[in-house]
Amino acid sequence: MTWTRRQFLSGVLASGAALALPERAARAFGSQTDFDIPLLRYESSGWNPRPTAIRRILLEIEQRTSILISPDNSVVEARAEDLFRTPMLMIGGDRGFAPWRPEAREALRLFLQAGGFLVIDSAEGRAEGEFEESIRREMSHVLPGQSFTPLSPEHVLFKTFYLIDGAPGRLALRNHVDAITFDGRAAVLFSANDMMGAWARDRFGNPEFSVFPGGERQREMALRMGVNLAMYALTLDYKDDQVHIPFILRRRRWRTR
Amino acid sequence: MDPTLRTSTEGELLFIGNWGPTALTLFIAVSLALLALTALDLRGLPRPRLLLLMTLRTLALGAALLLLMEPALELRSVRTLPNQVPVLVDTSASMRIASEGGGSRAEVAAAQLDAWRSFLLAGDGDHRPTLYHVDEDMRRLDLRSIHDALPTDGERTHLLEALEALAEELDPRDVGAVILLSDGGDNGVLGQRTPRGAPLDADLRRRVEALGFPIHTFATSSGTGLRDIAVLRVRHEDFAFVRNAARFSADVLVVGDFGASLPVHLVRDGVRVQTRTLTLEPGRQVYTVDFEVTPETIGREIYAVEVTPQAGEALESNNAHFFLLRVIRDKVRVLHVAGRPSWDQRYLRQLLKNNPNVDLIAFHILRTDNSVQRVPQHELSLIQFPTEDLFQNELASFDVVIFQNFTHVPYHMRHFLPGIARYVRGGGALVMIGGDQSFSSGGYALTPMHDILPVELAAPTTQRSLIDDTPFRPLLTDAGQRHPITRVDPEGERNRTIWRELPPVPGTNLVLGARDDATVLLEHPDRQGAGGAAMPVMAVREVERGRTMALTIDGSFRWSFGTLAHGASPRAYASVWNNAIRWLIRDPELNLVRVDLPTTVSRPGERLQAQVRFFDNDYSPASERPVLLELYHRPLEPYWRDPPERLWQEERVTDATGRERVDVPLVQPGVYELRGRFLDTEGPAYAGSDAFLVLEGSLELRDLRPRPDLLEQLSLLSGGQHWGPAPTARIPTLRPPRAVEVDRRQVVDLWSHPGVLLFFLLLLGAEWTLRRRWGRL
Repeated sequence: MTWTRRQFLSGVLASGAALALPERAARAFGSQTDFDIPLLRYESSGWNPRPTAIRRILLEIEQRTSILISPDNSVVEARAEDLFRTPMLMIGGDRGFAPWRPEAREALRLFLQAGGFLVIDSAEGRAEGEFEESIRREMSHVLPGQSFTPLSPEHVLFKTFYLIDGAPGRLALRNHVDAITFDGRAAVLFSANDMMGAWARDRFGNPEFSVFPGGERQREMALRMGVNLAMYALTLDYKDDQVHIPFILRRRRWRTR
Repeated sequence: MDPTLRTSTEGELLFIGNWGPTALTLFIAVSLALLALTALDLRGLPRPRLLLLMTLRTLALGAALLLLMEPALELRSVRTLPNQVPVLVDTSASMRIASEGGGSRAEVAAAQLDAWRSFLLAGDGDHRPTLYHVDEDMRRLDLRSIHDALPTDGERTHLLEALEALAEELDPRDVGAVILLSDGGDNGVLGQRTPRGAPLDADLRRRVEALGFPIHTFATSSGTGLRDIAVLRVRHEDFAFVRNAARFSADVLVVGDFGASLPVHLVRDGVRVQTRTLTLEPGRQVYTVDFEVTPETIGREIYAVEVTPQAGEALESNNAHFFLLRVIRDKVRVLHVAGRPSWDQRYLRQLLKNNPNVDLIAFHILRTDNSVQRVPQHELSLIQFPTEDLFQNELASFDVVIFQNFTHVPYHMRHFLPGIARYVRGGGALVMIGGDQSFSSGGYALTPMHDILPVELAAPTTQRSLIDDTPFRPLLTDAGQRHPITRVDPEGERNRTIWRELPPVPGTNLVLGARDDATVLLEHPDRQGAGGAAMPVMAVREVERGRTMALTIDGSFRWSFGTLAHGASPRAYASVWNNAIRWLIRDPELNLVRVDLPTTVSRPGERLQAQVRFFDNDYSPASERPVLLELYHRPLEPYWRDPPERLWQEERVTDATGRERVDVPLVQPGVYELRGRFLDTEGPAYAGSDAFLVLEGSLELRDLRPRPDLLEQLSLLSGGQHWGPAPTARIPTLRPPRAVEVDRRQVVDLWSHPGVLLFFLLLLGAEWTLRRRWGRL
């Protein structure tokens, strides 16, 4: 194929333009469009049991995927003007807590109905403890008539980026996560396995908590779970599209352990 | 006085006395008692004398009874009216077909009428014939005019309906009989519900019997010697989905010997697309042929199922059956490519996926070459990005391609960009949505993609910022107020309010401005483009046969997510994107030139009364614009040889409404197309058309086989006679007239007549005399 001079020059200029693409560090539309996982502050001394966890998982997400993250550790209250900053929210806790105010429940309901995604992680260290009991109580008010059910291992959450078996965290109290599903998506997830405990690192980058019983391999699985959560929040059932299925089925033959 | 009327006098005996049955019974009982006493009194008399006296006594008592009942005579002067004899002559189009004697069926009927001419003209004393046309309705026919050929222009034959109308108009008791001259080819309820050779069903029988008069039927043809091929009907849906199989099923009638086989063709827009071979069987006349096609383009298609005319056919025009098929889109195929996962991409994908009219193919870049890879490939769910499949092999199969914050550079797609531009120019649609990897930031300046976008891009340099991350609320332009994409509420002020109150978006890609031929729907409130005009935020453009849209923000999802925070409806987001998809795929409802036809099938002689609506690019009614209206015609015949002929055209200048009315006659059958286009702008977006058919009232000339069986059944059930096709001079049996008119009426009292009294007295006197003579007083 022979090029005209105009085509050649255009190609050179375009190549130069491609090389001059803005660097990743220059955030495109500011932190407002970058992916963030705000943590909900509520009335309890145990609302933030793993202060470094979210920042660490966001860094892992940015390193491993194409998602641009906001590294700021944002904390929000259960008010509409706070919750509607971004469609994802996380709740942590390690003990039971007092009932939320009706306005807080209403704000959370609106958030979820608008497409918001809520991940709840228990650091209590036991299944069906007081924190879980409090969460179930509150969710029954936030979403009356809806209840938590175990998420199937075939759910797209377990293949949105990594192919994962189980729902690993710092502990392995349960091999599944519980979810409230509506509008065709898992809108609320609950893990009893202390995922944030597996993600948390100190300022030197060392893990803050040991992972039991699987050790560092289990920690890696917990990090992958965090990545998958972010991917699920942003892509929902994208990996259930027909075009992906043959590849996933083939790769499932090699189970990840 | 009418000399046809007969006058006579009738009498009737009446009894005026109003004695009740009790009184009469009592009188009779007393009379019997008297007779018994008389017999007792006269015993011993010789028998003859006894009988004579008893007779006289009985007669006297009887006379007394009669007098009590006051007999009278009612005399009436009566005029007898001749009853009606309606003669119904079938004047439908099938009557022009040849009968077995050589002449047409109508000529056979005329010969029969001629044989009865004197009766038909003058009647007889008791019967008055009246002549009627009968086809799809019934009208009086002047016998004096039928020395010329009988008319045969009726489009349908409804025999039972005509007879029932007659029964409503006349008192069946005053009908001597109905005489029906027809070939029996009925396409009303009689013919439709009665298979050939089968008896009428119970309901039809009841209706015939309820008519109340005999029907004499004369069959103008038995069908012997008829040779004809006809496509009776084609079973088809009114619409088909593009790229989906559509099936048609045709019934073909073959009457007569046409060899061992016949080809049956399916023709689309004048071009044969399929042929089936019909294997002919002795004794069989009706065959079913199936076709299957897959329409490739959206719009109206004219199909015909046809059989090549054969020598000796009674009629060739029924060898083809035309029909219109509307081809619509079933699902819009959308390719959604996102450069990275984001909330904006998530909300758009979810909206498209939840749209039942969209078939979504999505590819999102979940990881880049800069991403850290710590795991083996088989532990990931990621797949290769199939650029060649998407942007070369399969590109034409998509109706809309969306690039959302997607740069081509890392995927070495440069050589696909010209093909994408060609795809758009050839009729495809492209949307570019903003983000850090889009527009100039995505490396699209100075590429073929730049040439098709509705915005001008700056060549990226390290000195110039290509993005402004200041949150802002886009402003709705005047064009946006009217354009179907951004008109989320039909009420103007409410639409403006919705846009004013939407949440702000977090920044925008920077562009130099809108293309000259682009339409800006949203603009930046503060930033200007290179030319000083407000910088476009959403713009659309016609690119030859395709369309493009640019949205320079990546936070439109906030029009959904953010609105709910304030309890507002998120419908603006869904409306904008659903409207955008419709506009991009050229939804006919959003064309700039729209032809509104009242119907898709008309008849010759009717008028086309339609309107053509013209819109500007911003969808305001095109005012003061020069436009051309044209009507094209193509005849209905096998092998459409000739290009369409322009029958009518008119140049106009639109008024403020942008509507142009068309009112032209439709003289001949055929395929018509009404077209409208702007005269001052070129391009497929600036023209519109729609097609329709003009067909003869074709039911009558589809199946030419006569139905003497129907006529015979009408006669049988009504008590009439059936004959034909040879005419007879004998008038069939007609019922005598019933109708009377009482002219004068007179009542004559018999009981008060002196003779009656005298008679009574004579009886009494005779008895008395004889009694005296015989010594019994």
